[in-house]
Amino acid sequence: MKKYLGITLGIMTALGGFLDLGQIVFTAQAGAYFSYQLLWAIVLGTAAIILYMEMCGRIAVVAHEPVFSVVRTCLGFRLGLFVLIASNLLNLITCAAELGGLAIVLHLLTGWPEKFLILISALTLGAMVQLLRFQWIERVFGLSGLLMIVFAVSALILHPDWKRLGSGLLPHFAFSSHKDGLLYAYFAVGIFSAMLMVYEVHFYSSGAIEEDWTPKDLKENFMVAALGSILGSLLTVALMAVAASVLFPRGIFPKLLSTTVLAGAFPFGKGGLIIALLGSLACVAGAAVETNLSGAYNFCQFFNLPWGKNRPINEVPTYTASWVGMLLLACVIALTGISPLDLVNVSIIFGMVIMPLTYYPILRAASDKNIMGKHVNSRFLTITGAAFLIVITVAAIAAIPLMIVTHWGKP
Amino acid sequence: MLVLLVSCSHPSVISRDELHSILRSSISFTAEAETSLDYVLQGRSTQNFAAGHFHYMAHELEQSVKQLNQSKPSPGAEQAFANSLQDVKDLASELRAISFQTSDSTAIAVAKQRITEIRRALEKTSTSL
Repeated sequence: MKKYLGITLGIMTALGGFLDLGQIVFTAQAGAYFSYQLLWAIVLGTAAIILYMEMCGRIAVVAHEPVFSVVRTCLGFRLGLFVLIASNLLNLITCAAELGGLAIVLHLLTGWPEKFLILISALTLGAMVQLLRFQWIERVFGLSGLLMIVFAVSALILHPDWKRLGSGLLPHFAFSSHKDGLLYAYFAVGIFSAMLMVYEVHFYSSGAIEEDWTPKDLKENFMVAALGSILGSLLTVALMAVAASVLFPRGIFPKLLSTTVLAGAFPFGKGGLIIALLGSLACVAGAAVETNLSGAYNFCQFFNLPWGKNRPINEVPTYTASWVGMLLLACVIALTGISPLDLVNVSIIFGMVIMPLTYYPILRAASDKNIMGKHVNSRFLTITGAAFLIVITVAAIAAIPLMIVTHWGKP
Repeated sequence: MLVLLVSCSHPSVISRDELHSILRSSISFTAEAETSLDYVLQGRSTQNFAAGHFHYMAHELEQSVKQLNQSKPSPGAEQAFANSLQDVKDLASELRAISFQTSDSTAIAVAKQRITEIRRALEKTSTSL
């Protein structure tokens, strides 16, 4: 049973990346504007994250090196420090956006004032992180995130156009205008980027160490990375399908979380709507915890300080102070009233820029026989990883120019 | 700083493309409002969700009104600009009002009719641009 529950690390990691506040709206926008034409970006992103999640889990197990320790060794102190600062700024911005998103969902459920709900959310998440062991954190958020299955059921009830869905597995190159072509590229980069958000690998590799995985668990590592990501990916496809079925034919371009939730609950009544809201709540909360803890992991791993959610506070004072401080700061940012969706758009696009500097060290360490011994990457894995790294780098270079010319993806 | 203050105090010219983008977004909100009002009329939404959803829509549109109020039209687009500003304002206030009346089916039906009229007007302005 414990082995089966281990998969919740993969589910929470994937849902926190694939179905956080920004990605819920972003995927729905892509589905509402391009129907299924960007499905291939989800498939490509899923393959890439499975590959790299497995690699960073394997490095953590074999070399006992979490991602940020690998980043520092590979890139050196100066460049490593730059990646640390950039990653933690993104974690902070994303965490603040997710707190704002939690308040939106809770407001839609209760009607209470948003600022009060931001405070309640931050306090509740802080208490949960403090009181629960790591395994229970991943179980609570991973399993409750599965309520998003309501989107998959909804997608099936709405009878998706399977032919169009199938044709979306290949990139599309003919557009009615130059502007649409640029928008298509912007959404492709955004979807791909959100599936590979760097905090996913930070959290996953730290989780593998928190759970005391040993080389005996390497098969499980692959299963957890693959099944968690595939599940997250299927729910992302469901989100796109729901938008393609409900919003696309009506000419609705969603700009709000509530629009996406409504589309997900469209075939249902109040019960379905509440489940869709609770599923979104769980995913957004999971993403908030993931980014919050990742920030603390990154800091301690980079400076080689003791860390661990399951260790007593007096053994890991910097780690505890880091996640508490980051949560407080995120709460303050969220309380300023900045739109959570604006914040998360920044994190998706700027997150893309630091991706090559996170994924390259992982690939290099996993391909190094001196570090990995007999668990070193096969030639196939190294070549595939390098191919994805090229795609990641191209997307990273294109991200900001596309953001500028499309005015943040405005149709 | 002074340059910033001066540039902030003068309304910037809104291009036809930007105005078109605001119109497209507002038309999308009308379609969304009509769909959402049907959903509420069928008794499938909770009151908190409906009130919150219309509130968020109204807020987004109020941002567009603010942007339009701080801009001036490009030459030749004065009429389209004035029409757009009025229609987006009307739509925002319609949605703001309905966010407080989500349990009143008569008010919802009337609002839906008005929103359909606003959609037609917005589409007409958009075509004229």
